[in-house]
Amino acid sequence: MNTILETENLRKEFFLSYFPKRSVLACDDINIKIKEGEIVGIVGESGSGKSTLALCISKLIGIQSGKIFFENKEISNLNNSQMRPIRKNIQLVFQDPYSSLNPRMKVREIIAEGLKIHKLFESKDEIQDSIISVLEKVGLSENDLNKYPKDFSGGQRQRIAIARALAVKPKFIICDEPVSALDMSIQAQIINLLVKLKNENNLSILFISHDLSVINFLCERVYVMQKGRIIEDGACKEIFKNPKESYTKELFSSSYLK
Amino acid sequence: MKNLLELNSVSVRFSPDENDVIDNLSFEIKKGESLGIAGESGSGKTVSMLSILGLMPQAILNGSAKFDGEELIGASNVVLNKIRGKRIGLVLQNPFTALDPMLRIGDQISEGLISEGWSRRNAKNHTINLLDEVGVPSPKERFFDYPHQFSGGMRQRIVIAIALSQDPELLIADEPTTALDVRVQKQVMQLIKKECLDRGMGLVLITHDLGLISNYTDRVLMMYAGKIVEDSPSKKMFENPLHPYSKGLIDCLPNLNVDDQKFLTTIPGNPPQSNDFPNGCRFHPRCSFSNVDCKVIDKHPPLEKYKWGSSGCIHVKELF
Amino acid sequence: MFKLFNYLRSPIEKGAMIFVVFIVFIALMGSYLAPHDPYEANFKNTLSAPSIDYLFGTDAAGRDVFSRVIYGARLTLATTLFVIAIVAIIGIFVGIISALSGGVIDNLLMRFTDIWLGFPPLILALGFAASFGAGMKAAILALIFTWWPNYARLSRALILETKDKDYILSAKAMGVPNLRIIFSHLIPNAFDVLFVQISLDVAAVILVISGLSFIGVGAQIPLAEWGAMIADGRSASKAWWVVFFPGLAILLTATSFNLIGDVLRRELDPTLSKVKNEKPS
Repeated sequence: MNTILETENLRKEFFLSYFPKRSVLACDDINIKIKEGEIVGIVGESGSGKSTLALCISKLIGIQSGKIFFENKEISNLNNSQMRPIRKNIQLVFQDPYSSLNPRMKVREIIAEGLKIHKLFESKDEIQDSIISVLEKVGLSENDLNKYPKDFSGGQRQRIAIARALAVKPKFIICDEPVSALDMSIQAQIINLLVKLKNENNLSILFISHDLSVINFLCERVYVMQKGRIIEDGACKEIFKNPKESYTKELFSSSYLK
Repeated sequence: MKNLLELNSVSVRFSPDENDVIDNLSFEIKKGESLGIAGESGSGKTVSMLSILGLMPQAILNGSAKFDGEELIGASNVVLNKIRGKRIGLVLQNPFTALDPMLRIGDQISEGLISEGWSRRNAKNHTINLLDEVGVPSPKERFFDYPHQFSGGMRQRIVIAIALSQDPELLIADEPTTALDVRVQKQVMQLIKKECLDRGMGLVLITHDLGLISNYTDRVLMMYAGKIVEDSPSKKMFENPLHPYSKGLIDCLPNLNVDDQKFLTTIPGNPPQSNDFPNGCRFHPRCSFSNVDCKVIDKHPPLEKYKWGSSGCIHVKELF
Repeated sequence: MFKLFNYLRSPIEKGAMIFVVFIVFIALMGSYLAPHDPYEANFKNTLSAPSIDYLFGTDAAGRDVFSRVIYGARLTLATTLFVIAIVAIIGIFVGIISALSGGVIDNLLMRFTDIWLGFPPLILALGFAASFGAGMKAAILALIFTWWPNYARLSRALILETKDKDYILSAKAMGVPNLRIIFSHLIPNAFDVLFVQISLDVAAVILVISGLSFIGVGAQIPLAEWGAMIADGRSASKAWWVVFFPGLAILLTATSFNLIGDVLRRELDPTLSKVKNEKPS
C-alpha cells in the first residue's frame, strides 16, 4: 500500500514573546505515516498538540522545521497557490459543529464553494446534482439545500461539514474531535457514517480524539501524544491490550473501557 | 429514613404558551444515597435540578419539590438562599467560568462563611483545611492565588471546596467533569465520591457519561424528552436495562469485548424538541421494539415497578 | 435588515422606527412637500406666529419655518450620511488591513489611528473655518478627520474576533483565495455590529453638525440647517417657534436613530444574553 501522508521531524513552536524569547513547543519531532485506505488515530489530552498537528499537516499554520509529504511529494515548502490544487485532496472536519459552518450561507452554497474553487464541474446542473448526491450520502436530503446552519441540530451540522469535505472527492480527511461535542446516540451515527464513507470511497482518515473507546473501535493504528511528543504508537489491538508507557497505561485506566 | 429531596409531579416550562419541558417528574433521594440522572441533551436532566433550586428565573414550575420537608417550589428567595450553597452544595459544569476571575480563591471560599457570621480568622482556617481536603497543594500559600493560576482540574477542586464549605447535606453535580481531561476526570470524581462518603452527603450526579454513572452512583434515573424512562440500580442498568432507550444508549457505545465490530448499534433519528414531543410514548418513533400500542396510549407511560427497578416501557415484561 | 420590524418591542421603539422612516421620506420628497420657498425672504411678515399658511410661523427674515425645517431634514440627513459613508469606508479599510496583517503593520496602523483619535472635532472645525472660511465644508471635513478612527478600531476588533472561527479555517483548508474569504466569509459575519454603530453615529453626527452650525462654524444662514436656524432665532425670544421647531426636529431625529441603534444592538450583538431566547439543554 502506498503512503498517503508522512511527516518527518515536524516541529511547531508558538511564540508568546520575542524579547525575552518565550515559546510553547506544541509539536516536537513528530514522525507519523498514514497509508492509503487506513484510519489512523491520534489520542491525547488537551495541550498534547494533537489539534496543532492537524493544522500543521493541512498547512493552515506554518512549521518551524521538519517535512510533510503528501503522496510522497514534499508539500512543506509549497506556497499558497502551489498548495491550492493539493488542498482538494486534504480535507478537514472540525470539532465544533456550531462554528464550522458559515452562518450566513445556505447549505447549497457551503457545499458548492469547494466545487467552484476546484472547478470540478462545468454546468450548474452538474454542480447541483453533485451536491444533492453528497447530501444523500451523509443522510440529508434535497430539502436541506436552501436552509441555513441554524436550522439544523449539532449532529446534522456535522453531517453537512462532512458533506462539504466529501464533495470535492478528497483522498485524505483529517477529523479533529468530530464527535466530541455531540450526544452519544448521535456520535454513534456519525462514526458509522465515517466508516461507511471510508469503505465506499476508499478514503484515508486521520482521526484525532481524546475518547479511547471510539479510537479503539474506529482506528487500525494509533499514535499517543503527550505534551507535543509521540510517546507510543502501534496497532490499536496491541496497544489497548498491552500499553507499554506508563502515561498510556494511566490514560487507559482512567477511561471507563468496559 | 426521611427523604432528603423529594419531587412530586414537578413540571417546568419556560413560557405560558409553550409545552412543558419536563412534566410530572417524581423521585426521591435519601441521605447518603448517590443518584445519577442520565440523559442526552434535551432530556431535561439539568433543568430538573436547577429549576427547583430557583436557578432558572424564567422557568415556570408546578408540583412539589421538598428538601428535608421544606417546599422549594414557590419559596421566596430568602428561603432558597438559606438552602442553596449552605445545605445543598452545587458543582457546575464549567470550572473555567465558575470562579470569579477577580477574586483570590481563598476569598471566594471564605467570603461566604464570613457573611454567615464566621470570624475572619475561623473562615480562613476552615478554608485552608478545605483546600487541603480537596487536594490543592500548599493550601496556605495558594489561598492568595487567583483562579487563572490554576489548571482546570484544580479549579474544579476549588469549586468543590466552595460547595462543601458550609457542610451541606446534599451535593448536586451537573456534568462536573465534561470540560476536563480523562485523567483529571477520574481524580475529580474520586474526590466527589470520597467527600460524599466521609460526610454522609447525598449526591445527585447529572451527566450524559454512562461510565461515570456506572462507577460513581448507586442508583440511576434515565431521562428522555423530559420524562424518567427507567429507575434502576446503576450497575444493574448496565447489565440489564429495563427500557429500550437505556438499552439503545448502552449499546451504541463501542463494545470493547467484540473484536472487529464493523458498525456501532445506533438509535436512529434525533431527540425531540419540547414543542414537538410525539404522541403516546415519547420514545416510540425511534424505538426498534415499538408497535401500534405505543403510539395510541393517552400519554407517555408512567414508571411501573419491575424486577429491581421501574420502567416506563409498556412492553417491559415481554422485552426484558 | 427589514426583519427589524418584527423585533420592535415597545410602543416607543415602534414610534422611533416610524419616525425614522418618516424623516427619511421627508428628506427625499422635501422639495415637493414644502409649501413655500425656504429661502424666500418676506420682510413684511417677519416673526409671525404659526398659522394655516405658515404652519411653523416665520423667522426674522419672513421665511417659512415649516419649509425650512423640511429642507433642513434633507440637508442634515444628506450631510450626515455622506460623512458616515466616508468615515466608514476609510475606517473599515484601515481596520481590515490592520487586523489581517497583524504584527508590525497592525501596530503602526493602530498608532496612526490613535493619533487621530486625539483631535476634538470642535477645535479642528474651528481651525478649518479659520483657514478657508466657515461653512458646511469645514464642518464636514472636521468630522471626517475625527470620526474615521472609531470605525477603524471597531472593524479591526470585529475582524479579529471572526478570523479564527472554524468556518474561516475550513475555507482556507478548501483553498478559497484570501480575497474571497474576506468578502464572502469575514465581512458578512463580522459587520453586523457595524450597523449598530452606524445607526448610533447618525444620531451623534446630527448633533455635532447642528452644534457646529449653532456656534457659527458649520452651516451659515441663510442655509436651512436646523442648528443654524436655532442660532439665528435665539435673539427673538418672543418668537418661540423659530427655535422650537428646528430644535424639536433635532431632538426627534437624533433620538429615533439612537433608539433604532439600541434595537439593532439588542438583536445583533451575540455577546448580550437575550433572556427570552435562552434555554438550557
